[in-house]
Amino acid sequence: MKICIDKSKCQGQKRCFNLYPELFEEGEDGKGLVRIELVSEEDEVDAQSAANACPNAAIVIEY
Amino acid sequence: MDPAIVNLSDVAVQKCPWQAYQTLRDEAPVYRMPDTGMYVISRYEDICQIVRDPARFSMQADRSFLFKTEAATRYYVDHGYPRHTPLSTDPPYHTEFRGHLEPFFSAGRIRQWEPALRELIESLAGNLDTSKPIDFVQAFCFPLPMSVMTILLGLPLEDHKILKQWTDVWVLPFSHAMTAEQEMYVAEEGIKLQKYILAALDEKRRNPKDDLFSLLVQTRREDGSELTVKEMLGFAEQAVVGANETTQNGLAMAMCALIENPGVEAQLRADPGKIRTFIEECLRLHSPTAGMYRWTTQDVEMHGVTIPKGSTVHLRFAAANRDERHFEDPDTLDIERKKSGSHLAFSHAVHHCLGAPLARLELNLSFEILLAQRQNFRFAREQENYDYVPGLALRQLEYLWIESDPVAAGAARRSASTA
Repeated sequence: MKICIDKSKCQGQKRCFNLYPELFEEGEDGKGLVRIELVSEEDEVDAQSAANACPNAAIVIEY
Repeated sequence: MDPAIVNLSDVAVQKCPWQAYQTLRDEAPVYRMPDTGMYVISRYEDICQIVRDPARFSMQADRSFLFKTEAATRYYVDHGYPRHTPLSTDPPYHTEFRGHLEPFFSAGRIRQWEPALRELIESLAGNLDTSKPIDFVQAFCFPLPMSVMTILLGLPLEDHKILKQWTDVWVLPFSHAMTAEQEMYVAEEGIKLQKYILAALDEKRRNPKDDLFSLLVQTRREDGSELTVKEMLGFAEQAVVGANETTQNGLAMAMCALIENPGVEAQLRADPGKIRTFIEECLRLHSPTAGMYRWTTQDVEMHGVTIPKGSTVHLRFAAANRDERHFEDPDTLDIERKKSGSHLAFSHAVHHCLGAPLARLELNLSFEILLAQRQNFRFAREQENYDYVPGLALRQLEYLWIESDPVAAGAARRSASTA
């Protein structure tokens, strides 16, 4: 499973790195940054939950 | 099935709604319930679109949505504060309101409570009377979530019983079937809960600790001001209510699914790493919050239906979680499913459940511990082992009669000690 952030959709609401700081961090522009693109099997549920929690559908998952 | 005969208010349909959901998704994706006038949305992608559009689909309900009688409404206002949970507000205010508390509920922060939760759950599971059939709902699912919340909120553990009683009453209005007397009861109990929370917050102001109530009184806005009393109450109410029945029903439904899917118990025992996907599948297939509401701020056109301004829209998560447009072979519990975590049991976008990491930890720990202590989970009776509480929004088991055996190692230890 791979995750990335669609910068054109992200509005810097901080939710991804607030809730899942092991997967995301805050970029210099205040928007979310993916820490590790390739998600380990253990973190797959958290990645999907983060994608669901984003208010702007900016987290894209490749299965 | 003709969509005209789908009746989600019918208790028989609420118990086994899958065919009705299929009909709605395929034939009437925007369906107006004739009895309530609500518009039911049942497809996965439609629900996602709506919850990302708070400007047109608002969380701010007409006040009459809660109480129909003036007396109950007035009692609330005269004796306490109107309900003001984050779930009843819209962005941009909601973003800031919720944002203050978000780091407390992060997956990493929640994991710090794991040792305390493990101890609590091991004791609860260890105390189950397993020499005879038990009602798993009463014995395990009832006390667990509120006991956990007393730990997170920093309250005495023995208060879990009264908190459970108040929070059970708090959600009654969502049944949309209350008498005037019941409304008054809900209002009175609601005010008791508010008074309890206010006293607890006062105590945290004097003796702050590392818990949610202390954080609430210590939170400051960017301009340095505190949250208002109404906001603190709203957040606290949301925390206890959100944690209660949802988790309780999630636990009960997962046990039911474990029993009704032969072979799964052995698979989970062989590979406990799969418990995580098993829990996600249970949440997807038997979403404790079957549906939630939005209110239209303008006329909205969807799938050729005009939803008039001021309508109540009912987002049916339980139907979307079996939408074959998103999930392959959606009615099957598949512990290898890759997409399992993308279900809408915790909703989506703006109001995605803040307590999701906590709920997941409780559910996962519970089944890890139960499976380590017991085996051969099965129904205790020939029939009527479980039944549902009637209701539109929540999927709730009233009772669940089960039996199980000690795991082999435990059995060996026990027989050695009695020899």
